[in-house]
Amino acid sequence: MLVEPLGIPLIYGRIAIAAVALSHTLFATLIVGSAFMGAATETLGYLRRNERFERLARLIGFALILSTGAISFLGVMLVFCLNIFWPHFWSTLFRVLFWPILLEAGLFLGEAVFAYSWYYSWERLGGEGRGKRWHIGLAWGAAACSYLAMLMIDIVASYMLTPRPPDPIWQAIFNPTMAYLHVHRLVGNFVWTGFALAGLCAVAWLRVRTTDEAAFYRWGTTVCFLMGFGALLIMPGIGYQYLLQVRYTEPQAFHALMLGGRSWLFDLVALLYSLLVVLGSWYIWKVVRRGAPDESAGRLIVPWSMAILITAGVILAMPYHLQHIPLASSLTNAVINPLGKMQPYKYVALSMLVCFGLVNWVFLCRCFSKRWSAWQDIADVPRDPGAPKLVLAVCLCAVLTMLSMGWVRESARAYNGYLIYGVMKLSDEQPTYQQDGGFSSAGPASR
Amino acid sequence: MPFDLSVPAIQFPLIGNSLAVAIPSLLHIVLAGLSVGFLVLAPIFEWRGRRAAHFTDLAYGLTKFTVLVFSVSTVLAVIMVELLIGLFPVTTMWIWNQFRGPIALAIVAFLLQFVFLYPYYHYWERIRRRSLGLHVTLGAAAALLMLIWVGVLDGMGSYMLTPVRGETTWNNLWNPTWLSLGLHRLIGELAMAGYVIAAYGAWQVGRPNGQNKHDYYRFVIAIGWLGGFAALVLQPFTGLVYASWIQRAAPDAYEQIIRGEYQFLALVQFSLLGLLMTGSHLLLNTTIPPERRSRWLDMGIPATALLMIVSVGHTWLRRAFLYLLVVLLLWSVRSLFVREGRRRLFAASFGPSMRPIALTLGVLALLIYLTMGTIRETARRPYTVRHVISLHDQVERPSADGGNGKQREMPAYVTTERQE
Repeated sequence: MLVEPLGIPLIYGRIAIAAVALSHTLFATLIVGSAFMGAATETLGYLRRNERFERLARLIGFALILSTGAISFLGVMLVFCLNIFWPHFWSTLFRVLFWPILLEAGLFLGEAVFAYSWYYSWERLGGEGRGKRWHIGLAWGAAACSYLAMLMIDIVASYMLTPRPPDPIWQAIFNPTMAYLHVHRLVGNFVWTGFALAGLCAVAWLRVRTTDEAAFYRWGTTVCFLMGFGALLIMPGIGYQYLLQVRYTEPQAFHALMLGGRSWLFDLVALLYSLLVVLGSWYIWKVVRRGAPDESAGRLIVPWSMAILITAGVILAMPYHLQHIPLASSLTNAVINPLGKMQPYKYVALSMLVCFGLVNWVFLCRCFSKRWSAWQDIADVPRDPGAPKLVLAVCLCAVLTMLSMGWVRESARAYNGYLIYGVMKLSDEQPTYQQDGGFSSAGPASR
Repeated sequence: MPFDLSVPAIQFPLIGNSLAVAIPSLLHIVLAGLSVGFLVLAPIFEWRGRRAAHFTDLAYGLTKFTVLVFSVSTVLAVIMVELLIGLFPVTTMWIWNQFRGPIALAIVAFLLQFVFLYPYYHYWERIRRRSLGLHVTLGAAAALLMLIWVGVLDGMGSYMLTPVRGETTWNNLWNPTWLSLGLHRLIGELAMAGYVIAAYGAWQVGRPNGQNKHDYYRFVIAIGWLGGFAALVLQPFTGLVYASWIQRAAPDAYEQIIRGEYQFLALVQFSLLGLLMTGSHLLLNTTIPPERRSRWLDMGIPATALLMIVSVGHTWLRRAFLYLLVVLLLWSVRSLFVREGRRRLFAASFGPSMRPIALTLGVLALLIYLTMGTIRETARRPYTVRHVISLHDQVERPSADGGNGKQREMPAYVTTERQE
């Protein structure tokens, strides 16, 4: 078949696909989380007759339909880019996982139909009674479809790192890292969505002019933040299991990430995780200081816990193999940083981050109790611009974490030259770029 | 554990590969075609809304529809593309590589269109309060960018029927049928949009809660019908240009549809067109008291439509009847305007038969649009890209120069055999 070579370096295609794929991932993950959060907040609002939840659900609904619109466009772009820059890879992967990919698109269509019907029927159905129950049903329909669509795409994503023979198809679908990646991404979505929605509320909080508005957005910011921060604390446990599976299935990929040339990327993720926990705890302290009764233990525990978190965060972010850090050799001749060792330092640091983060999170949960005055004193609301800015910083860290996590997973394959690990190499795509690339008629490299 | 990833060609169960692609494609083009029509009409109506508030309301409604179906339509397109990649990988990869440059432009246009469209709808009142001109400009920009996107897709679609060997991917856009297809399709979208708007108005006016806004929905019927009709009477002329270019560049494809094994599609198409034109006249009649209707037009229009249908295989005869039908329809409209006055249509009390006629016209307009799309795809059979790639996704010739190109060795991944 005559496919004219692109006549450009292969790296251009990699950059184009990376840029589109990362943007796509950023919005796609927002959809799953916001569909669930929107449905949950509307249900809560309906059950508790709480107008604040209802209003928050509507705000989340707006974010959801914007994300759905964006992701439709970015999805088209991603398919375009894959077809143009990596046609060999894309057609192979597509044939192997035809049904999951097709189902994913079909389920996303379902999500779009439910989400749009949900948001745009608020006036008509969002009132009371049976109509309201239908309306909530639409929201849960969008959530279910988005969840299943993500499951399908996780099959594809995990297959690229731990592929199995395509026949029978079940072997390929239930590949070794499929379930681990899926759980990791599901909880990761809630982290990202929680922080992203908190960020949106924080922007609105900064811009409001009335105290009522400020009170709502301050409350909304904290509710979304609570969700994101809570899910954040579960991530290390799930991530550990996922990495363990990668280690057993593709040890070479694991080594590249943890001890090899791309270990600096993982250090970056560790740094961002630490920042999320520390900055998040700082925000919690602001809430506790404002709303906790004078005799509350939170006033004593949260500051101390923050001091421990900062120390643990520094240790977790420390690199072990210094030579893999870009430009580090110009600063020091040392090859190894003994404090950056995983066992025992980083394990202890990570445990501290999770445990003390959890303590702070419990205090944040308590701020919603009636004994606290976190949401009652609306008069002082506009005088606190530091808190929303802190949430925006957390949101920025969450964006960077999402992007670097995506990069880490792709690096695990690409660093060793693979598009589909052990089966298809980046060099198999060379004929797409150069005329004399020398296609092998035997197909891609065999394992 | 050594293994390779080669898998047999996919055969879509029950419905086959062609139909599997056709279903989401047709669903997509209905929504996309309507969206394009509405997007073009919305800023025009909004601008007219300076003098009549109903125009503004209609513009808002059309934009709301476009925004509502935007994602659904786009995802249907993604499904269509994914099916194409899975079931017709050679065709898909080849055609996309022939249009790399224009696709890049289309992507940018589509992104910008998205950026303009969302504020246009979601901040409708806020922007209008600040500046009506700015708001209309936003809508017009979104429409223009959408037309760029559609233009590139038309380029790819027309290229599959009349491929050329361009020096660059931009030259491939300038294939013989591109501009004529683009024009014919745009006018077709406006015609479909107009009749669907009228059908919506008719549907609403008969609903119990539609009575509150009776004036508005009557206006919607009138303006929708007028817009659809204006585009409809243009279509025979743009269609003639398009057909002439196909006849010139791909005579075998033209013959296949008009006199060959797919003539039934042309028959369906002209039957639908005849019904639409006759229905338009009948709708017009519902606004005129029975004693003032023209009897000879009531007889002449259906008779001419029938003659046009039966002469499908005779090009010149069919065209003569088609243009006669257009003249009769224009005469029918002229009669109304001259005898009853320009404002008659908007002030008319539609008769009881108006609602079913308007709804039927809306459905007919949609069906014509779908049949037209099917005809265009069928004209290429048994190729996906005429004389280049077969429907079995096999390469016929390595170049689009009519088969004189030098045969080259082909990569393994794109020479997959498939049996329908």
